[in-house]
Amino acid sequence: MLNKINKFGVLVLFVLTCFFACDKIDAPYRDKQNVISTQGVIYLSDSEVIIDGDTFSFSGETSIPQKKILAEDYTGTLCGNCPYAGEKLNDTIKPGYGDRLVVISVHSGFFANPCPGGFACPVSRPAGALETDFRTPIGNEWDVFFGNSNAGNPNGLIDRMEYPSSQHIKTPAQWASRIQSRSVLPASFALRIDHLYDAGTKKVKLAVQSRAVGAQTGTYKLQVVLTEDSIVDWQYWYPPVTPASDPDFLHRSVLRAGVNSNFGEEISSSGFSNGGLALKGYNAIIDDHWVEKNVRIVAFIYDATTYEVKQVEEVNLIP
Amino acid sequence: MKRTFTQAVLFILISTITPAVVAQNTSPIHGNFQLDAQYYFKDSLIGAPEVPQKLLSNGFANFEYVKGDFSAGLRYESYLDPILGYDSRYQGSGIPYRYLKYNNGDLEVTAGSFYEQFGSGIILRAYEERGLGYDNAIDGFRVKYIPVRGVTVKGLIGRQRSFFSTAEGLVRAADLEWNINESCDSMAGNKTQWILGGSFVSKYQKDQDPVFNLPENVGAGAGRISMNSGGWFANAEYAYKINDPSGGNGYIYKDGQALLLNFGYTKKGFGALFGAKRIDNMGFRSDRDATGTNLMINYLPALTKNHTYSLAALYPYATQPNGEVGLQGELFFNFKSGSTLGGKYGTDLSVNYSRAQAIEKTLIDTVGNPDAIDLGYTSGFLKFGKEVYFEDFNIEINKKLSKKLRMHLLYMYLHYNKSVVEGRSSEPTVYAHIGVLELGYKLNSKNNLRTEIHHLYTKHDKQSWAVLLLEYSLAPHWFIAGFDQYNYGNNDVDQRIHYITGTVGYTRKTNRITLGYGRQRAGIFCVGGVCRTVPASNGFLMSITSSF
Repeated sequence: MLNKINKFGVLVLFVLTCFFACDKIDAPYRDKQNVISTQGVIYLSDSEVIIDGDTFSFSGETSIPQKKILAEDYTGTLCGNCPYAGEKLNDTIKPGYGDRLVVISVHSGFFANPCPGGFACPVSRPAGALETDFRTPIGNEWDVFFGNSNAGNPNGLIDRMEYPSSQHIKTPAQWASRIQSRSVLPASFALRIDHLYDAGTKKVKLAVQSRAVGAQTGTYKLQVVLTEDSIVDWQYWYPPVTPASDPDFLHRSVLRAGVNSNFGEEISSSGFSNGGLALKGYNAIIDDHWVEKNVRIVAFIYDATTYEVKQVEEVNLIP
Repeated sequence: MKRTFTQAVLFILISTITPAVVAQNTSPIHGNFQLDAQYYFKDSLIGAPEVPQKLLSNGFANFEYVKGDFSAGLRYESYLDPILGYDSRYQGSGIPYRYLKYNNGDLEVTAGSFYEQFGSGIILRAYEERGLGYDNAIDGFRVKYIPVRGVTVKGLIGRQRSFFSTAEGLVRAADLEWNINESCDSMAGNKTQWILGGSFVSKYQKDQDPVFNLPENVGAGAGRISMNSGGWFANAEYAYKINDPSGGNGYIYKDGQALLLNFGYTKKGFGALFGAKRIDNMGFRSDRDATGTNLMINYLPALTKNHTYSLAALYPYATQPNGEVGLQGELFFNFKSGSTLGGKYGTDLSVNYSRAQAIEKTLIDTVGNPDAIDLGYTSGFLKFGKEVYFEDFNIEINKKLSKKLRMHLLYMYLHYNKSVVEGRSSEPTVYAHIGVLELGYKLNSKNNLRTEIHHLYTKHDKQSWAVLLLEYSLAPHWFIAGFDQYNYGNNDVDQRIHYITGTVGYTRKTNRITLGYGRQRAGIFCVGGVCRTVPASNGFLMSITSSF
């Protein structure tokens, strides 16, 4: 009888668990930031879009581009091993590929929670050290989704390959070989970014045109983000580097904001024929604290089912 | 992972079954098999396309092994390539359905694929309807438990089948049913039997939408009651679903509700049934962007008569999950032989009426509250809309005229709102009168003749049709049939087409093979309010079925 009651209890617990699995959404029902980012966007064709009064036109293009690779470095200012990985990626691997390798440093998770509140905050640190919060809503959501910080920083994603599996999170030791294997693949898409920046209003209007190279089946999304390079700020190091709290660390390609939601916008649900085009236009605001000359616009196309990044492009905000 | 699980089921089947089959005459394995193959010809007149492969086929084979408290089964399916009218995502071959089950009476545990229904299914029904290409089996775990006599608790978690893979969304569900009379000894012998039930279903799908803040966990709950007393029965079920913006409802955040009522009375020679329903925004899928019949979690019954005669089924009703009220009433009479109406051999008579129409919807005023546009509308629970979706009044008489001759008569009046039911704008509403006469003549103990004569009269859509069917059967193995569906009244003279089909079939024990040739008109095919589009085709059709 007791055994029966125990089993019954488990099932009742299951029922109650189900009962609380409900998300009641209240207004606003739409992502305001994204609504703003697409306000005033009028599409004239696959090659021409008006963004808030300015027309962006893309000329016909048939050249076959090289495949570019996206490397996401999941890191944190309190992660003592992370700067070693970041330097390896930016200073050792990237020079071999130039602009064919696009790096995004995603600050998220336990080690990105800054002092003084962060649990990883060292007991002894210089006054004011390690207090900059580089975390972003988009970076946090990517981190939760792909599980990077839970797997232990530093680690990363190379073109988001092999998701979902336990293999999609790459350790720094794997980065070079995975980037190399991606670099020999032919490109399946070409990406072009055109933009106008008004330093007075801090507003950037940007248009991204995707072109299929060969027929592509599947559902594809376009993700656009803003990064900022060469931020000099505190970083925590594990030995042998000393001092542990470094005030002059060069933070490279830090993810600053998403432009078109946290997982981008669908550009096709049924694939593309060879040469098929998709055009998207957005508005974005550059934060007052960002150094404009170091801000970059990064756009990438990924397979909405596998999350594999098919092509990536990066341009400077100030050419 | 899936492959590993399938291999495990296969291993168990092969390793445990083979010796048993050899050692015993009564096999512990049973199952069935079906293969449908169609060879196509292009037929521009009826709009039948050229099929590059010429020959397409759908096939499946079920195998189930039972030993004591344990059972295991699998279904191999093959679509090479799928027959026209079936979703092209059914492409290739595989084992999408496999399970291991343990049942010791009080406790049943299923690992793998399973079908399930809570109550009438208005918040959860996982089932297969092969004619529709519909299969929303759940892949995961299910537990059924009887803690005390009369009480059954079910819990499940899994992902729904989506062709040869599973959906992204996760389904969690639980159900409790209490048969009061079974539980209480003092009520066990009562004439009146009561059953209460309640269920809850929650689905999870991540939100990656660039515009909407979507609920990732969407729950629906339902309560039901059922009563039987003598010839009387009544049952009711009410369901509520929280905000579930989806492609099907235009991404509105309104809640959903459904109410089903059925009651009736039967005694020898007479039966009366009445049903009513109200559905408001109750589409519920484990992928909010799924379309067609893919990934439905719940089942919303049509509450209309499911006709089998081809012209009576020409315009079938499809349930409108975004909102409808419906009712159905039916009377059955069996007039005894020797009575005035029964004649020498007795007469069966049924009268049926069903109707479905819109619910009242008032768009929410967005002045000063622009966010409210995403709430969609409000709807008074007892307020009906004016638009009629479907109406069917029919009378059927089934009578044996002599020892050798049997007759079946049907008259039907139909009101069919094609735009709403088929989801296509600017389609005509069809008002039609349909008559069917079926005669069966028994030549002798082995030889039978059967004919059907149908007529559909309407001024709308493709106008009037007539059907003639002749069938000869030589028991117990053979039958041959010819069938002509003639759209003689079509306003376009070139479209006055004969859709002629000939079929021959052979049955032996549990095996049956049929071979046919003919034209198939384009239309929709529905079972219980769930429908699929059938394209026009011209060609040979072969079907083999077998069970063991």
